[in-house]
Amino acid sequence: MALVSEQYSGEYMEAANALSRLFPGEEPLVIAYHLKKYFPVRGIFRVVGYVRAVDDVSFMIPKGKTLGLVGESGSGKTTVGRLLLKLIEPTGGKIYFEGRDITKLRGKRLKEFRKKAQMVFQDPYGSLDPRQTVYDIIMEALKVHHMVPDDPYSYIVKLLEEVGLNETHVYRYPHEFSGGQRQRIAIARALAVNPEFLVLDEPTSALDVSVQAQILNLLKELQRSRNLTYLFISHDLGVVRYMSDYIAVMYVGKIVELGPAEEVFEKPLHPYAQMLLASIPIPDPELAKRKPAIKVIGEPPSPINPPPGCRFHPRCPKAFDRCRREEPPLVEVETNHWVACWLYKA
Amino acid sequence: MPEYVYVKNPLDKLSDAIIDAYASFMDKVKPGWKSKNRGRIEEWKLMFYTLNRSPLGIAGAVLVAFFIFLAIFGPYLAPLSYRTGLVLCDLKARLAPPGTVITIPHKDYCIRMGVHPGKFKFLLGSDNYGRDLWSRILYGARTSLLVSILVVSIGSGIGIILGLISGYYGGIVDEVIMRITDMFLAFPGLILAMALSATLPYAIQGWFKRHMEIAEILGYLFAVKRIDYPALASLLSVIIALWAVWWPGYTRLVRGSALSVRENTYVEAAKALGVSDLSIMLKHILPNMIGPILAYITMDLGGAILTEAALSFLGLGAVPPLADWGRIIYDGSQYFPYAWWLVAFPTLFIFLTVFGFNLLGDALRDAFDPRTRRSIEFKVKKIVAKEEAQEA
Repeated sequence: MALVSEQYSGEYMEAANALSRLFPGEEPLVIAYHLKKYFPVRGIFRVVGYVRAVDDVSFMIPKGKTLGLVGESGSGKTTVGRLLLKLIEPTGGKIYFEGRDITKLRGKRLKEFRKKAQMVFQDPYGSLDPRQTVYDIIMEALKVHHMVPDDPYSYIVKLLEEVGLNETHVYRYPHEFSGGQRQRIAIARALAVNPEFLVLDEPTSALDVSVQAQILNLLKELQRSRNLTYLFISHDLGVVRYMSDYIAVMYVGKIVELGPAEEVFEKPLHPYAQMLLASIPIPDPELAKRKPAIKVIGEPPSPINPPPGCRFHPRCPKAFDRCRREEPPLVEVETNHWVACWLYKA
Repeated sequence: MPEYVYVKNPLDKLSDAIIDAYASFMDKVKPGWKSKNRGRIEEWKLMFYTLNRSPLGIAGAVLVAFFIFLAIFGPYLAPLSYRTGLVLCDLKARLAPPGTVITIPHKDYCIRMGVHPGKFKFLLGSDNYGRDLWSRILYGARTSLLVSILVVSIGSGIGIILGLISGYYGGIVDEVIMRITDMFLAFPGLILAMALSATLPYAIQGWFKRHMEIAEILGYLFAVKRIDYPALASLLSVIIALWAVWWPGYTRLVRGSALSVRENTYVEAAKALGVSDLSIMLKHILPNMIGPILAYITMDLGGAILTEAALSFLGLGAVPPLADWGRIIYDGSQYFPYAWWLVAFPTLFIFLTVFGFNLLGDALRDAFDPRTRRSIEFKVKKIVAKEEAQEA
């Protein structure tokens, strides 16, 4: 709370105060407050319903840290990432970047924000224009923000070396590279404008396991050397555990569990998080036998028409009456460990 | 270990030489250009290899090249001007069959027309005014090419711009543009063009009177004599009429491609970088769909020649005495079947030209498509032993 100074608006103070208890002692870089995104479902003449991709989500990303966002396909994690970068407009709620509301940014201010927040996409085969050389790809980023250095060639070579490529790659086209190399180019593009915040949208899910490790190590190294803040979106729990300082578990547009990475992995509290973590395959069969098995039942509900009360209750082995009627709020169950479940008391 | 080498035919070597010459020229103008565009040069060469391996494409290219040659140099090669009628010099000149030789007497009015006294041969015959059909076809090539280039360039330009905006922005913008396009598509194009080209000439004639310089420029381009400048008005009105009916097809085509290209992640990546909408459209979306559009434009040039000839045949567009392939057929049809050459030869030229554009367009579509280009790459390459590869 002490971190919030007078230069910020009252709305921001309110959001920052409300979220300051999430991760005590951390300075927020990005704050999402009651964030909502509904996609309209159009019938023949009118809107017949809404896909509630993100439904009232609040969290913050501490400066210099990594927040891991996990969940099944369709849980809204990618939508959260795109919202934070203002690639899509939120239906409701606020997003603050360095204390400034970015949902209303236009023109010059928006461009300033784009310089500070960048994204690495899931598919390295689709995220690079096949008709641009590596040089053109990175120059485009520099030109947009009027950051072209006096000697662009050596700047680009330096950047490529930083992500593990070299001078021979400068004038090549994307189709001449492997998936891992392409992802390195995508990272170099994102870093070209010296951003502070990166949204990593499943950056390794399209890659081989061995290449995955290289890219993850590269990202960690870059975070250290450039003091970057990451939002790491993934469905691969092992990868998230390796990368993240904090973890948020999403289920059908809601955050159900939030806390420090080790805490959540060692002691998951929400029944969904428990189910999710139990589904991680364990390489050692002896260890696997000792671990209590939790059966995965059912499928995630449609985000167009989510069940009333707790969204997880149709699949929850511990569901009781209250779960079907009332929606549980996100409360601090243990120190720094937040859960949205009626099983626990604040 | 076996290796691959390119097996090049003479055409490949020719195209290589052309591209290399261009590359060295660019390198001289802008040092470092060659190394920057190494990949691009490679793609261009492959594009030509693909074209060189399609016999129909080569045939089309030859026909098109021949037509363009006629259009550029035809008026200079023509033995007579398009309006020189020789009936008064020799009565045999009226509706003379191909190959007829007439004698031009030493008379003032013949010499004033620019004909040398002596023998003159009608290579492809003559019409009822004694005008040389071969000369008129050569002049007509210029008219046809210019009309089709003007119609297709402006028409496709409008269509591409509207289609890009429509496909990229979507939503209400898309809805408005596409409904207007539908309105134009629903109305029969030829009828609309007829209505416009029948009503526009009077307005354009008045406009020409106020702006002589425009008439002069057009007259120079179409190789028309000063005395016939009023006739240019109807030619220009055909061009304007065809613009009005030409763009909707392109708008539909480009919108469809833009819709699919904009879904690529690199478009979103550009947005995340803060690249402006205009820049995304011009630098990312347009280059990634231009191949099929260029191929379509090539075919369409043939289509525009055909439509213009059809309008001229209906008595709109080129008015006498302008030379135009469609007009020659229309005027000659009164003497058909006796004077068959007046119909047969212009028809043959229209057919060959349109056919050439279609063949070339088909081959270009393959050449612009990176997938077929890649498959050709393997046809061009041959497995050889390593020593042989080194020799090559």
